Amino acid sequence: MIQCAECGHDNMDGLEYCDACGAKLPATAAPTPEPLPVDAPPDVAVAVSAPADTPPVPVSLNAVALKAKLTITRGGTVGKEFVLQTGDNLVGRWDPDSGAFPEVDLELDDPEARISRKHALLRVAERLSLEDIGSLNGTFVNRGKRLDPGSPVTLTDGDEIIIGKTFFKVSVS
Amino acid sequence: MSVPHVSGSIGFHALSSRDAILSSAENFVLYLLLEAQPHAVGGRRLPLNLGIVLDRSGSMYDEQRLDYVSEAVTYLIDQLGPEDRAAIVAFADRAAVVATSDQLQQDKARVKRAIDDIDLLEIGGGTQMALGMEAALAEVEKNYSPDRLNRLLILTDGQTYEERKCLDLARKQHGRISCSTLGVGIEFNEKLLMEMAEASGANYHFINDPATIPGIFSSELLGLRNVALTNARMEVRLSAGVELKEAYRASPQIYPFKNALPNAERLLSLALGDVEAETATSVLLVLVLAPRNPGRVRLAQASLYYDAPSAPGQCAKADAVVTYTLDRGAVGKANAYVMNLVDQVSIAKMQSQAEAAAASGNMDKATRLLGNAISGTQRLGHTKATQVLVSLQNEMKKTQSLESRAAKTQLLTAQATLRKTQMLDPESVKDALQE
Repeated sequence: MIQCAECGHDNMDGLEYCDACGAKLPATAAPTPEPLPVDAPPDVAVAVSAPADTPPVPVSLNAVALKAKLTITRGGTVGKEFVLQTGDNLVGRWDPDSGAFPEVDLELDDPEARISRKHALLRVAERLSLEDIGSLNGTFVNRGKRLDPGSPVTLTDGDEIIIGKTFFKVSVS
Repeated sequence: MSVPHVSGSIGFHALSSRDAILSSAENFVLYLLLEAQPHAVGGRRLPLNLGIVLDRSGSMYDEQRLDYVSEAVTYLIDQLGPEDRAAIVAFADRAAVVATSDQLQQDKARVKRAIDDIDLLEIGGGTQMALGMEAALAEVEKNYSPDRLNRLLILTDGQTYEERKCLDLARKQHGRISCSTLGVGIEFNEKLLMEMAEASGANYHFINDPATIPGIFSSELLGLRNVALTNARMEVRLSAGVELKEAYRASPQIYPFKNALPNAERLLSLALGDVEAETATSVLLVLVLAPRNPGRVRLAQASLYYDAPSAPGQCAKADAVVTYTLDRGAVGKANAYVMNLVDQVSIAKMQSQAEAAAASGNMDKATRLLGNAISGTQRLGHTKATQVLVSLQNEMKKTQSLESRAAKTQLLTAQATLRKTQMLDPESVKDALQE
């Protein structure tokens, strides 16, 4: 996605002019090469964008927010920890060209690029929730079925999540 | 890169905005230009079979409009050769055949006198364009032949009754009788005239100053003399994982194809109509490509069907192929020739978006869109288009609407100016095609 600097409209990669206001878009930020899984059907169109209107999660200051962290258990630097901040934590890969500045940045732990630049959101409030925001290779909890993009699920201490091909243990206290 | 195809006397090729694109996890927009260019065949041209349809409503007496019309038609008659046919029809509340093609052949002088006296015809003062079209179509049918260039030239200055019927008449003749439209002043419905011309792949002209009517007739006649192919249409089969976002006619005039949707077999069908020799006739498709693994991929197969003089049912083919790669270095710059047309099509789109925004009262959005269109024409160095758009934007800022006479005139001028494709000079075109 290229966000229009003038009106904020999200435009598809490769477009020359903003669909909404006609502003010239910056020379297409070359997307990060991201090989598809070998068995991926080649003709499946995948929309990979966070819905623009996802409301920010209100964080009550009075409520005691959880403390949560993720630990890589497989498919990356095993044992690496990510302490989550209160509010939204983007899980993805750092890519300034597309405006992806994830809190949980897996750029170094994902040599095969199975993780989308904007892959999932972890929200720390009174509960910890996980939402897939339109990733290519999917998000899974406790090896269950692939999460539906845009539908958050609640996580509890000890859950295992899979993001792309990287496995994490969830700690909540 | 495209696979050029030369069939008989036509060049037809597919050019992508990029030959290589990155294998990415995200959908990617690619512009595909499908361009045909027939070569002139030894000075041979199609004999003409014209129906000239002239508005003789009350308003045509203003600004000496009728005087200029009769000057233009007289000139046209003088230019016709012995193999050409033309009939002349006037309409107001009723239609009257001013001259049949037989009368014109027998006695040009008498027909010229009849055209001069067109102001004396007693046919009322309204604007029944459909009646004029029907009468002219009946005349053209008498000499109809696929080996002729069969066309109506319709000149009007007013809002007609039965718009739907006019459009249906134009559409029904698609592939047989094309229909160029000339709008004079600001009272006519430009959308109707454009759509009638587009329905048959002929031309739309806007005439602000009636003194230019003879000049426009003569340029239309030059174009008619230059037509090398008729009944052209394009079929584009899109590969799986390639979706159509938008489709435009990109040259020689720019307009969006309305309701262009691929069918269940992923086949897109676009009518092009009459095609001039040595003039690029092109279609620009805005495609959305799904992620793929590296490799060469055929995005689309295009077929151009057309009738050549005494050789109907011809076809030329072109394939659009791109390479998906993981190597950023392999992704070169965008094709300058394609991007120039992308720019022009996008600017025309901004202008019509601005018009729609202004019509719904969103003047801020309209002003912003026009501003971006102006930046675009400035980048391209199109001075005339820039001037026209700046005048339109000033008028809009001043009156905060497009209702005034001045604003409407600026709007019609801007539409007509942006509609005409400015081709790159032949040298830079050659380079782009050889890349």
